[in-house]
Amino acid sequence: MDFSPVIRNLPYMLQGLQLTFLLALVGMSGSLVGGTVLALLRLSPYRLLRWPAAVYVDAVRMIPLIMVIFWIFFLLPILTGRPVSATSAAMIALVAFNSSYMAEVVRAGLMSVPKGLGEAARSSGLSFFQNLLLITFPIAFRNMLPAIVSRFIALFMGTSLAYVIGVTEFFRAANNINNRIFRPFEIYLFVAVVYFVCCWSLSLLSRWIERRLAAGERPAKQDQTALSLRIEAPAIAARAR
Amino acid sequence: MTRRSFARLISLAAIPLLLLAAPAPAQQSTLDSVKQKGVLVAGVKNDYPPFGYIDEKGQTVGFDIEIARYIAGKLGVKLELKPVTSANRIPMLTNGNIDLIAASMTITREREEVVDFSVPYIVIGSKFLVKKGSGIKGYADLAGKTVAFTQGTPWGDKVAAAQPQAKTLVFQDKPQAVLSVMQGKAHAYVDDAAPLFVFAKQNEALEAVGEPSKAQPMGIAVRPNDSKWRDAINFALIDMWDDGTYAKLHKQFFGVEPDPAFIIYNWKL
Amino acid sequence: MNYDFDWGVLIEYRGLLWDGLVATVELSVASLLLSLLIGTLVASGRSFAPALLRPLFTVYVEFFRNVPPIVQFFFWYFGVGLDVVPAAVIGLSAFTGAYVAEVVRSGIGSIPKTQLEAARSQGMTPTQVLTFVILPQAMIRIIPPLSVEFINVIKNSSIAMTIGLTELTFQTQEIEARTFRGFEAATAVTLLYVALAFFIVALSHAVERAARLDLRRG
Repeated sequence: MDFSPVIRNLPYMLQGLQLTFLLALVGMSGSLVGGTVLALLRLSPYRLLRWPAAVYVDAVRMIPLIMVIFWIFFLLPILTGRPVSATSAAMIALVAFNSSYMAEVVRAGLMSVPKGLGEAARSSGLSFFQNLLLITFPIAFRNMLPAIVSRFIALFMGTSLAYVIGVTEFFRAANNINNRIFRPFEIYLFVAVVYFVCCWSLSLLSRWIERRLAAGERPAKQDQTALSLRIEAPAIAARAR
Repeated sequence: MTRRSFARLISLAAIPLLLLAAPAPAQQSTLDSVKQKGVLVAGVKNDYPPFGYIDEKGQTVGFDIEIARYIAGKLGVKLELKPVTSANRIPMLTNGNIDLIAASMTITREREEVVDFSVPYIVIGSKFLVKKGSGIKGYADLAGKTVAFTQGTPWGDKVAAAQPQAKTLVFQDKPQAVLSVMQGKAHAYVDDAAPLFVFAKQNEALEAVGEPSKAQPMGIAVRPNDSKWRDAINFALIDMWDDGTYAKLHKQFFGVEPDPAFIIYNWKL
Repeated sequence: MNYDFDWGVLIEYRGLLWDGLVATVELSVASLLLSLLIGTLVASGRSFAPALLRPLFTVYVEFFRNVPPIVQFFFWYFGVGLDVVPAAVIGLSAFTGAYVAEVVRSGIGSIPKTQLEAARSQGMTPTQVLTFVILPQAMIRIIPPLSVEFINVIKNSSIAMTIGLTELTFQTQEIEARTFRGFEAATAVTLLYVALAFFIVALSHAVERAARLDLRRG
């Protein structure tokens, strides 16, 4: 096992990692907007608006992301008559795909805001949109943060699929190197470790946010059975001996 | 939510949909649009020496790249390279991502139905890439064995027809197919001769043998029904032959003079 | 839009579509079963193994769920050198197993302490408690999230096309490469994925109903 070729080609691969982060950030920002629109559409009193949104949210989650990427890159240009670059296609696909997940996150976030706040705001003269933007969204957003970070991690991993349309993100960059130097074991192990470090750090961030948000609430209930066995196991072992 | 405010929200959402309904740009010859843009976007391979590959400096170079560069020079525009694979080069062309395909593309009748080819710019044979000492010389030796090829090349049907008892493995990138032979997953990798010779040279354990098919012509592919563009490319190829650049490039990337039987005719009496 | 639609290619190439469907289902079922096994072992280990061994199971979960499936496929196939099917099954099971472990863990945690105490008071050993009391009940409770994981497995099986598994998404590209009718192929395959997902949801509801009936009877 010789990792020196990996280290030699590190700069090229790190450039790809930059694009990975960019894709994930664009994907998350775009899908926050898209998810909000979809969530609001689903709450609409008009069936004509509610149904397409509901169908979109449910259907897109049944399709693999790789298929969505193929659709946007190869088939969207047929519909619009205009070419779509690989990077744009990847961004559009990530936004379109993740919006369906974010719609659920936003819906849960909006519903987590106590109705009393909205009623108080409206009764003190704020318009519907003022209430939405100044009161509801900030609180909803705070509550959505753990879910947003968790979806960001999934998006970050999903960017690796842009490989199939040639976007030079981290995974494709590593592949290009492997195609030249043929060291698959070292390279793919290295790639796995890098993704692990990035995603795991983000998940630690998400847990930290959750803890900060829960500060002041009573502590989470522990696993009951697990706790009991943990306490009992040594005593049982002692008795058995 | 009041009906009025909701209607406002919906009209905002409708705007992106209007963009989608905008009419596609009027059809003009690629020659004019390339000259207008000032850039020729060429789809090339980046994992297939000597046609297109990445050198130690990280630059995409190769025989096809130099041909594209010559064409761009003749048109007086800059050259932009986009990496393609055998599987995605045609969609990239027909969607408009690239203006031409210079990616070791064999001229076949099926492909001619969806793209238009230039005159052939090279004729090349094919080989099996196998492990040295495997004893494989042809289709007969591949009964019960596994043959690798890349998606988008016509080898799947050819191998199935010539040796029905062979199993196949399909890869996206050429080097992955080479790796499969090195790892013993496939007993042979079938593809064009010149690149297989390069792969064999790079790896002492491999050799390129046999004759999976007769030599085939390769061409530059463009979108169909664009005679102006195809003519421009053909004239550039002819010029490249006439002024000696072709022979020089062939020597540089294939290591030998062009086959005497191959000529790009200049269509002049 | 100047595209020559030809839906007939779907009929002409229905053999490829069928092969893809079979490969997808086979890979998904095999991976789901293996990841159930892995997930149950890991979750049980996380909650009940001796304290020194417990971090190992946590490391498994944290590592394998934070590495994208495509990377895991490439590692087993190109890095380790396994064949396509073993690499795909192991890669997908290792990834999904980490997620299933979390689902099983929450299932175990949802069982009231009284169950455990009652079983212990009958003189059952911890292993017997785990196997006969806790896990069966946990499994029934987690059927809904497990069906979500099953759908995820079917979606992630599509990634195996990159190492040459001839499943549904691979066949989309294959039909495109042969007929240049990618739109038709992609439509058919997308509908097939949606149909598979609907089937899983229906199956899951049926299993849930059967499980609840059993509980009521017992």
